[in-house]
Amino acid sequence: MAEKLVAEPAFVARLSDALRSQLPGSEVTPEQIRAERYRFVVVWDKFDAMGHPERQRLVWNIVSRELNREDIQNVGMILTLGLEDLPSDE
Amino acid sequence: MAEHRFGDATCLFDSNQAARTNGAMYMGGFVIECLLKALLLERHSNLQSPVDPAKLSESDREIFRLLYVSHELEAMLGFLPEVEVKVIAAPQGDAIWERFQTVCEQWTVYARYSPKLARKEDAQEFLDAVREVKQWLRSL
Repeated sequence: MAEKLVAEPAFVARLSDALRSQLPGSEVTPEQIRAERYRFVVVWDKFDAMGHPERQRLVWNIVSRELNREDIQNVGMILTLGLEDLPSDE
Repeated sequence: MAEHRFGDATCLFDSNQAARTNGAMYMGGFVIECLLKALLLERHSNLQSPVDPAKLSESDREIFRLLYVSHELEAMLGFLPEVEVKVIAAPQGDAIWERFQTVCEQWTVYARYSPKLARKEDAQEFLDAVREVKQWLRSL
């Protein structure tokens, strides 16, 4: 059976851009979970100085400012990683 | 079961030992896992008794894996579409959704795998979110 190509919903690029511009220097990677549901991985050096609840509040505040209700419920986890959370190269 | 695990989580938190904050969060995440698995079992009663996974349909095999092997909260929700519909319909749906995803993230990334100790206030906030999501899931 031919695989159906599904265009990425517009909210994915909108949220990715908003996260990148409001968290300057961050790397944002969206990942499809299923259908229109996406999770986002945000790597930002400033997260190193924040606890996880603070990181989550920050990114979800951006979500609620940028997206409408229908799109918000297509946002899955937003993984918030500081540089110290990444595995070292050694 | 979920209430027992929440009791365990608050007991660890109330011990006021800094070294127990991650343990309290780890146990807190299990509360949500227990509730999601209970909802899955309620809706897939054929998986309540011992079954041979090889004889299950592809969809049931995936649910079997989520029930008995996995801890993927977000994936469990994928098999509970009516939960998502209720979130969307609820007046505070956005807030509930945010709390749920925040709990998933902190449990998946931080509480289970981070060698760093969580701050007491962070663990408190996490357990407050777990309490809120728990009440909501129990009301379904």
